[in-house]
Amino acid sequence: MNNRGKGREKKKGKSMKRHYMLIGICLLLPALVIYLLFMAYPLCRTFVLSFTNWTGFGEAKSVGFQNFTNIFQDHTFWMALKNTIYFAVFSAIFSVLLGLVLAWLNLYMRRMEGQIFRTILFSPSMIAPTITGLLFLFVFTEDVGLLNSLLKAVGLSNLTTAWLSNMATVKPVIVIATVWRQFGLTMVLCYAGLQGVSNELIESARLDGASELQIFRRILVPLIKPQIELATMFTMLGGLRIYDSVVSLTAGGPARQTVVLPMWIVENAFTYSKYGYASAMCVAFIGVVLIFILILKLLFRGESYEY
Amino acid sequence: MNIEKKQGKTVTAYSHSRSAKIFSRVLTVLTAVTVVYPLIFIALVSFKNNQEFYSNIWGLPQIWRWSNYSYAWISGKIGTYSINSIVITLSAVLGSVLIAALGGYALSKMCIPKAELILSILMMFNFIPGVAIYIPLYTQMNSMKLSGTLWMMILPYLAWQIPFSIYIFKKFFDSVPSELIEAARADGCGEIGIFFKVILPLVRPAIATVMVFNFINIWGEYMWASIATSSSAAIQTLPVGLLYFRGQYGIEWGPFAAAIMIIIIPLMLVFIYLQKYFIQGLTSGAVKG
Repeated sequence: MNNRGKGREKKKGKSMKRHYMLIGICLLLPALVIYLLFMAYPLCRTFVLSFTNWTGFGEAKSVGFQNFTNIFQDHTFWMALKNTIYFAVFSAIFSVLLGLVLAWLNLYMRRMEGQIFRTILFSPSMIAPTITGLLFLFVFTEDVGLLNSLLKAVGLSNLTTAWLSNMATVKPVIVIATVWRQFGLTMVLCYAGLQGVSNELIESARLDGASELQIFRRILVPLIKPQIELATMFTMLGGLRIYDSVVSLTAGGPARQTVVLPMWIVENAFTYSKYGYASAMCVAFIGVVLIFILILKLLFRGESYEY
Repeated sequence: MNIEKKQGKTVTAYSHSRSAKIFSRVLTVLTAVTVVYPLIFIALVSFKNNQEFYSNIWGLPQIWRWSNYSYAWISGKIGTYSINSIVITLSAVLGSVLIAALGGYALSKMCIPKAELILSILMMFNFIPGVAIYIPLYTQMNSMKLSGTLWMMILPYLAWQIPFSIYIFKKFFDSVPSELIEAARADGCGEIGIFFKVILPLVRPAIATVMVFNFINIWGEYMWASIATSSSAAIQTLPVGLLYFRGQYGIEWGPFAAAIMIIIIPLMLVFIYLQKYFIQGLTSGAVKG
């Protein structure tokens, strides 16, 4: 009797579980459907298109790997790839370093003070890249730019240059604009990690005679490795997508020196109607992103410490 | 012993070194100035005309020319762009919050098998650069008869925010005790009623986080908007219009700066109002990896 009751309860539990599962699937369905429709499905179509010579009209004819072999002879593609990697790597390195240092310095402040500064320093992270690019247009424009005016005002007018059309300065300028927008985010991420390090650990290191800098380098940085990895991941993958700020700052110029991959892809697709070739470049681009993820995983491999 | 004594007196372990305290403030203040100054500069320029901008680059404007704003708003069509952006952003943000909240709840509390796997697959798609789907998406929009309408932006924006939004919601729902749901069920409350009346009010911080995050992403999105609206000026959004504005009136710095202010101010307001949740949500995601 007792046993049978239990069995029935178990059966009932199981059927209830299935009942809730069905409701759950219904609740999840809208999210999945809309995501499949506007992300997964077009992505699959990109892969299919990359093997065709589709121009936007009529039937897409399969051309095998032709598009991919064409990429190898495309100088602009390689330049765009080089620029994309340049912007991603340098903006990630500087954003993470600056964010890490500022998060560390934030620890030496009083609670309210630290919070106010964190909010101020984070605020550029919410401004869209397009706008950041336009903001920096005011800073780096040749004739009336903020920087040139400042240099003239302090008597360093021989340092002024046309920052945005000088080949030597235009790429660092884009990196600066990107770092300006990103370091607040890396700072907040690193700060979250640093907050978790116990006070006792720091106190005892100090009793052992460690200097502030040693504490930072030998204790804090190794302990927040997961947060540094996450910040690097965010900024690096964000940097690989860089497009908006380049469009608004230089539009790829001077003389295509700052062209980036998305720019070249969009131009091929929507200006020259080479949809097939552009799709092949998209597939190559995804490959590059995956390689970068792998490299980052390898770089940050090894034990992380518990604290 | 010594440590305990010190702990009692001081709030953190970092308040000993005087030089470190001074150094940290100097460097932080310097960085804060480089963050804030360009924004103040743009705000000041937005009240100047070109002549004053060239002659008096640093100072306050002699006359506060609000006409720059009305010029940008009407002649620069920033008004039209703003209305488009507001409609698109509001619909996409509200839609994504509702759909992701339902999805996160299902993944967290409704015994769906392999919920973690579903979530990580969704999150993996986030690594893929947007440009990789724009070509087929553009033709797909045409065949869905959506081109030339604001749906061209609303639906994809809504979709692209789903993985991260579900992720945040699921994490918050995981911390809601299941007993609460069972009790509500025992009281005869329907599933939809439970969700809206019992569960959703408990995760207000999650709603705020997702809202701010999605608002920021959608409000400033440029690349897809520029492609989607290339054939139809009537549905252009603020970021697209702003670049167009620059091309058209590139040298009119005052109205141009005014247009930039018009796009930044709503962001600032939303951010200041909800920043506590936003930073909290981001970091709670970061700590758990």
